[in-house]
Amino acid sequence: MGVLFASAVLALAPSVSADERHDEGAELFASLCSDCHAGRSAEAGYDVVALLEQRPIAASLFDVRRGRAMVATGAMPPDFELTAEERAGLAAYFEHVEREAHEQGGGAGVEPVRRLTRTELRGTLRELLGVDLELDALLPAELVADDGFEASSATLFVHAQWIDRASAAVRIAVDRAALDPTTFDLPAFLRRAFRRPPTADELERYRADLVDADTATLRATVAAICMSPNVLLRVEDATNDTAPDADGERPVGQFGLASRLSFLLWAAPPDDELLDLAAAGRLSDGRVLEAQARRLIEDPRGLEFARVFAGQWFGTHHLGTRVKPDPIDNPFMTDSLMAAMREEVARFVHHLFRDERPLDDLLTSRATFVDRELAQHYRIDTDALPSEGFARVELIDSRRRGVLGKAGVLMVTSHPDRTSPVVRGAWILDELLGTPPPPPPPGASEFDDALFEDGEFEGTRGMLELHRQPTSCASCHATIDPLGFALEGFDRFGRTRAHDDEGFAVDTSGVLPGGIEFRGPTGLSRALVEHRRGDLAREASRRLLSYALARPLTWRDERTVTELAATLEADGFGALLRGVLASRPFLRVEVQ
Amino acid sequence: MSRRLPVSRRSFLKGAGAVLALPHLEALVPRGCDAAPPVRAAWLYIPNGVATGSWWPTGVDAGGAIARLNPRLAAFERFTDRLLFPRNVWTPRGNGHGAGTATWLTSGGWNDREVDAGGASVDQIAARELGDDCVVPALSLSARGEGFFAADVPRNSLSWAGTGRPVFRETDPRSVFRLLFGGGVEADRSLLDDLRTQAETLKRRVSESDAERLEAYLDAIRDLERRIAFVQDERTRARLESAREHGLPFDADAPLDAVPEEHGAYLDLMLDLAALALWSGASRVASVMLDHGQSNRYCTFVRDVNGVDEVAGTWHALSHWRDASGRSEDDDGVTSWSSVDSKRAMYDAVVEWHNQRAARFLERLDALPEVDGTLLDHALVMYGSSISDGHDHGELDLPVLLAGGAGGALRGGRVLDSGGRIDLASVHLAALRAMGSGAESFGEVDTPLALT
Repeated sequence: MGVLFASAVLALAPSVSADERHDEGAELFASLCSDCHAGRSAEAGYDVVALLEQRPIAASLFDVRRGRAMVATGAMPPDFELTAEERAGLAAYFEHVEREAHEQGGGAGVEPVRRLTRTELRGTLRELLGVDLELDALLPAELVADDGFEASSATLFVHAQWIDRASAAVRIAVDRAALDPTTFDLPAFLRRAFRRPPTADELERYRADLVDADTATLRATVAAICMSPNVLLRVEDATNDTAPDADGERPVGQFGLASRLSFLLWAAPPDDELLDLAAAGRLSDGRVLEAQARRLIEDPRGLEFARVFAGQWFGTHHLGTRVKPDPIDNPFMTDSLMAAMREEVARFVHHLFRDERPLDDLLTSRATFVDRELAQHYRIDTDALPSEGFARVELIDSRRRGVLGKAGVLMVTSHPDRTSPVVRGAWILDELLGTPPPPPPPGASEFDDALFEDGEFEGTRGMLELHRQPTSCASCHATIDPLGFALEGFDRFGRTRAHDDEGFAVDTSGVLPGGIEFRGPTGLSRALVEHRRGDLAREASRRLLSYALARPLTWRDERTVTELAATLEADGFGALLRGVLASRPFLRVEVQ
Repeated sequence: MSRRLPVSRRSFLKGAGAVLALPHLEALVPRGCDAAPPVRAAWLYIPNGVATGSWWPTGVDAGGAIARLNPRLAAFERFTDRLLFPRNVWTPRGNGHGAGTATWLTSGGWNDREVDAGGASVDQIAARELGDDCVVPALSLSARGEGFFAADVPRNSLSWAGTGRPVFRETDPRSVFRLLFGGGVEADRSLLDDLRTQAETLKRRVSESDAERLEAYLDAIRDLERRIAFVQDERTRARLESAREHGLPFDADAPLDAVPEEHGAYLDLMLDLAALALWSGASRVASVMLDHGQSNRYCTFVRDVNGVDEVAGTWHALSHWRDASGRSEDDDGVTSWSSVDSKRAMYDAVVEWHNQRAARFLERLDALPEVDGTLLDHALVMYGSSISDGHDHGELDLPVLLAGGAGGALRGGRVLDSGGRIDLASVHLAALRAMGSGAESFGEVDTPLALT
């Protein structure tokens, strides 16, 4: 409806209408690209004709951005040069789509029913039964899609095997729980389990089972409750009967909000205080919700948010599993050291949110969190550290500041036996700036051996500079590699070093697009904070919003992301979290 | 012998007071009755493609009859007359390691954001129409993933129940056995009744799209109920007890106790389970990923194949065989190769080793007796990859082969080359028809590939 309205108004304007502008740009886009990018056999599956047929026009936003990136890097078109006029025309079209998305977006979006993740099931059993059961061996690892988070309705599928194994986990946990029929409070337990008050029918059904029950009967009943779809699926808002408004949206119910908040900040169900506030109808009060968010993030369980969110955002949750150096060749790389690296990243991100740090701190903060083993790895003085556990330290070595100095990040962006400036550069572009480099064109891995045999080069850097010589590679790698070179002073375990894997002195100087020069991680971090602030803020906002909503974002969310990014830039991570909690997609839901 | 449409086993079973599948043993079907066993199908997938020249038969006469198989497929030799090689097939709406894997059995378009492979896969469609009396109508198996992409959806998802619903793949033989024959169910029947009632209550309260998601939950509960019934059926037990006699290493009373350390033994065991599932009537179809779509596995278990003592580097790195520098981003930084030829030989060896697994699977099917022949006579197996030459991620002329008698619906010993490109969907449609499906189209295709 918004589209019709907008074009109807513009059609009355005497100047060029939005539709005409769209048609002109679309025609240019199609004429330049559709020779290769049209129809069923479109190159790279990128079908410009289908893209241009999408309505509303804004729905093509993400595809348009993909094309825009290819044009911007010069990777497309591959065999002719755009004239200045064509370039300007394309840019205007891309801008037009961005504007359309911004004008028409901003809705609440849907909240599809999904099951709990393995982590959330563990948190649920811990909260309900007081049993902390390691589930990695009992349940299959979660698959992830584009949005990168395990807690995503796009990938949390329900299968018989999953229910079967979740049920097995429930039985083990219930058998270990301390349950006593004389003190068991059924209504309270059901409320915590279902994350909403039970209906009279539900209460009655389980109550009947528990008349004169012995411990074995109680265990069976508790197990049956924990296997309920009301526990394993996120359906607490299904009992919300509020009619949708004219936009097809309604507010998320009180108990829905309680769960959204606790699964966001604890990866676990709400506690009694949250449920009491929900029962009293007070969680929709923004101040109450904010105060609860503060309580949850300050609670020890608040670290769980950062462990899951930061671990999956930065990829450091793979440390120790998918990224695991050979223990025989690298005896110092113990499981506990890798766990400490994961924990450092989690505590650092937790600190950014809890202590309401500014955006810059993501890259420039001197604060970090280490235990003795990690401190030794960093060659930090361990005298002031407790013998067990983590302590906050102020970093003296400026190279270690911010997320780019974290060993966990440096390790997951390395190859098993060497560092990779390409992987590290691509990681920065993708995870931090939200501008992932396009995939290499077919045949890109084909190095010209003659280059290596006849050419002269020094060290990893020289080798990569040589391999960038073919023009098809140069356009993208000129953007990717310099970012990674800045981190060459860290080896594949994240230790500082003076010589690269080939034995040559590291050269950490680089240039950002636009000619901004920098040297080393400190210089790179400063350059990013100064010159790519907007991208940093957008990407952090996008990740948090997607994680909080447990769904991939769509073009309609871009407007919310823009607003959140402005908040983060101005007021930091605390404000970003509050902004998410006050956002339309968090508080409201589109009813389909 | 005349062949009429098989009597509906389901109605027969209802008459006999049974509710579940009967195995197709001579003992269970009166002699002289020509109730032919149904055609069962299996899809075996390998990732990373096959080097140009290492798949298609090297001797083919003018009429398409195979005179000589490709040496890399020597393991299939005794089945030459049961093999059909269709040329120029492709998946027009998705290819490569990710999209190609996800759409191999759907031939649909891959959409990352929607986690959509363009609809349901052929195995699921077959199971839905024809698998009513099976306990796990479509069995979905995979080797455990290793390395990067082990958690990536498209590279790990061959079978799709529908949009956004990749099918769960079992990777542990013990779980498969338990799934098929162990009851394998934590929840008991009355509890399942209770869970179903709760989900149905929820389903009435939620939106249409969420109701679909709850339907997935209800499907899962129904699956669990079927498994309980199947394992309680005494005929299941009878079939299991005779499995060992026919070369399948299973014992009703001794469930598998460990995942084999050796990769070949592990894959063979998974394939044996697929054979057992089809033979016992537990499953109507099976899909097996012999590895995920961009396997980075170090295939150190491949020894003395294709004249190669042992292989170096990951499978995926080997597939980019024209670059032997060891310096590309596909490489691990440790491995390099002495020459392109030696790297190519290793790539071929890894594929050949997997060909041996697939050929052994055909041997298994051929050793399992049924009315009027063996399971292989009543089976249709598709084996191959979603990439042609791995080096350049070729998307045309995908290396696939069809094997088995398909109950008379497949005439083997031939290469089928019509000249034009063939949407893999037409092969899937042909498989459905061979199984007795009434499907008129598959995806956008309404003409099945002619298999006879």
